Amino acid sequence: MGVLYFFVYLMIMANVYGILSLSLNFQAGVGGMSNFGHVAFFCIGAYTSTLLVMLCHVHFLVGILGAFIASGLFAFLISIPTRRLKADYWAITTLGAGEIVRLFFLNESWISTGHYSGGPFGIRGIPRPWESIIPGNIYPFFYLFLTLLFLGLTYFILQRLINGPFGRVLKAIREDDDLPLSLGKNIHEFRVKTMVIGGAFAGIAGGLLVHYTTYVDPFFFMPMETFIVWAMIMVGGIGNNRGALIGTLIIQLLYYSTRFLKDYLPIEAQLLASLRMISIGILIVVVMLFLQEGLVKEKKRLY
Amino acid sequence: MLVVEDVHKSFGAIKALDGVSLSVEQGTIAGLIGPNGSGKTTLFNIISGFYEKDAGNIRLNGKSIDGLDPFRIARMGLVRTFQVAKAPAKLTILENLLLAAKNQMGEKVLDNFLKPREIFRKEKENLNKALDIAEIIKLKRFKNEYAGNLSGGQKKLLSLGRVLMANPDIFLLDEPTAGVNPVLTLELVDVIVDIRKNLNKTFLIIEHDMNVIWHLCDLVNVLVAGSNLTKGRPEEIQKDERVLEAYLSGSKST
Amino acid sequence: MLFQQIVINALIRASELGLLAIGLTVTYDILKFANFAHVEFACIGAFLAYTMNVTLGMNIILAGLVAILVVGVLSIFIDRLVFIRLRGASSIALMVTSLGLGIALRNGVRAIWGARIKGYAIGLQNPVELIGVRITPVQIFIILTSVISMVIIHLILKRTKLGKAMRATSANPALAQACGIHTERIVRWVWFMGASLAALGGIMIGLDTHLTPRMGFSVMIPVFAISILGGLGNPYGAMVGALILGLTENIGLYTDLGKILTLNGLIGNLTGLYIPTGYKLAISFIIMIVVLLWRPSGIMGKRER
Repeated sequence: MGVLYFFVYLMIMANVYGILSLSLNFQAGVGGMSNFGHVAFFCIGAYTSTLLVMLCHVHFLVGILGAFIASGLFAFLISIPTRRLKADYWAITTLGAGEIVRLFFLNESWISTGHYSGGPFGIRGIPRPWESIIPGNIYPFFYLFLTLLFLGLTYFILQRLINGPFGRVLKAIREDDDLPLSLGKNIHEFRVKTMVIGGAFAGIAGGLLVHYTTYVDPFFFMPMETFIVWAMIMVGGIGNNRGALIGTLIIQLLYYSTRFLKDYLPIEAQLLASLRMISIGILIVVVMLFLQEGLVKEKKRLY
Repeated sequence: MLVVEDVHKSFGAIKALDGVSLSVEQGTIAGLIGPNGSGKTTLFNIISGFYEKDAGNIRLNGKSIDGLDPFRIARMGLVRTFQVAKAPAKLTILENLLLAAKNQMGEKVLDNFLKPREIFRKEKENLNKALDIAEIIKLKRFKNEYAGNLSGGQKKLLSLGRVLMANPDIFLLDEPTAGVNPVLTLELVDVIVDIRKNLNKTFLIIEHDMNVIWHLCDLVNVLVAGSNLTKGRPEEIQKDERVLEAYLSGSKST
Repeated sequence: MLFQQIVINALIRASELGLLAIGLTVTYDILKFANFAHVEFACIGAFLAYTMNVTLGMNIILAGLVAILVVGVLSIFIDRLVFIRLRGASSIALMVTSLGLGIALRNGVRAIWGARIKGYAIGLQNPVELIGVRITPVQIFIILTSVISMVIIHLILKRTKLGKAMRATSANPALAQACGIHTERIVRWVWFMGASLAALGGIMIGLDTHLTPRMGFSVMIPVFAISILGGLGNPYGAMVGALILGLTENIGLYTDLGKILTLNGLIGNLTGLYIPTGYKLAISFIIMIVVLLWRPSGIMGKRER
């Protein structure tokens, strides 16, 4: 029984990270934008939904909508200084933004729900949606279904944009600014929109995460989270949504299952944690060197 | 239609353009020739908004286009091609052509979900047009091939296809037939003549293949070392001793 | 806090981070990508010096020199193993690779040395008082080392064949190659130089404070901010940028901004306004954003369109 529930938990997390990797893939894989601070949107989504639901007593779905809007808004803000700049600057600025957002929630202890101290101590008791009407033993299955629903929605919306004229322009921008400019495409506007859409969906993932864990603190949102999502889309195949999902599943299983190796191997928990991170790092490098297109190549649109 | 007045541009100490003027009348095909380094492509980059000029005026349909972003100039009906043909490698030939269509509703995020039917219809329309153009540029066989796999000459053809798809009022073509085989070049010349005749479009063309210039152009502008040397009808230019001399000395210095 | 003290503290910070930023900017100039693993060279250097100094009982200066050399060689090794396969790849591909490499290196340090805080065997440092400023002998050593290193870099860049070849390679690699410059050799030297500068910076940070596996990563944003401030690829810009960042951080954190805003009580009355120390990192970030909005190519770079 325990194994089954653990598996369900794994799959819920895979769905949450699936939304993250789809949204990063939209920005980085299709749009060619080197977003190294995706965790910022994840974090803002998580806190926005938490505070809306706990302080304003709105429904879970309103909280998620708030997360969507707040993260999108933040994406818009960081697009302003960077939209005209080269990939290097995007990478650094977004990485910095991710850390600043985390610092903000770490330092601003007044952002709390009254009963608890907020800041580094986090916020506890975040309500799970529809918990009162669903029996505890099937609740994880319900939440699995709920997250799958949101994952499906994200997939549907992003896939439609990628397959249509919008995605076509993005793929052109990914390679070169001049050609789309010469054809009348406002590339800065496209970049900002892509950043906002990707950021907004990452916000949903944040909301979904904390309404299941019922707890949030700033240490959920270390920069490593962003890098893990990058590993997911790199392994699965950058530029391809199905690839991103396959990559999510692979990394998720590898990363979470190896956490329990310490029960079977005579190895310190600290050392094991380092080794797991090292393998993520090496995996990224190996994929970049030998499997640049990932496991699933970008899909060609045929007419 | 297009009026360029006394345009100057320097890169550091090098004067690339030193007071160039030209004008292209509605419905005509103008040529822009000159030895290597005479500033032809620089002028294209300035007209299309990719470079900022140091001085001078440029008007399109009587409206000044000074300091506008390249995409705005393109939306005003002036579309250019590049000397080194560009083609997004991970877009197919057809996608490359579709990319160029203007006023695409599907480029608006929300419309994708509010008006999917209309977008589908518009896409279909554009697709048919793109297929016709692929036929004209003889790339229909490769319609689902990634543009990254094309040769240089084929990429030139694709660039031409894209401007046809964009269907602007004035076409700025930078060596449209470089690397294209001679038979196809002649066909393309016919295509351009047809478009001008049937749709009353305007062209400004940089070309090194003089045969293309003599066949196509109503008026030829000659640039030497960043200034106008002369302009005239192709027959006059062909006979002009100074033009020949400029080319000879130009080729000596490069 | 006394103004002189703030200036000295800023100088110490600038000495440490400046070395890292110069290393980063020099490698950027030749390799044309932002190396997200760069700061890990600082971390590795600091820990190698720790092993030699504390575990093996070597003199700290000797230990530092050996560590710097080892890190320099390590960086060339990494280049031959990884980056040589990616010459001419897109900057995103290079950045992502360096990101993965950085994760592996950082956690490699944690796996080998553990996560516990460490320090060098240099004894307790008693601060001395100079013109009303408290400074420890080690901090004086840090400032001097940094200044001397910068002079050496200046001489290498301006007076040696290597420096000339580096400039040529940066401006146009193909042309440099055609002129008989062995660009791959330049690339190797640049890795060596960049990484050993980072290692030196890392050791300085370790001397001034302590060592943790995150010591590199935690200065990544300030180091990038300095490089961007000076214009990516411009080592002199990085020197100036380091000073500006050091001053801004220390003024922001340790002076009463209320007094400054009210011109020491001339207009209104506002005191006790400090930026919380938890936001130290935010200062670098804000500097970066301001520079990107105002002059994307850095304060000393040429203005880009």
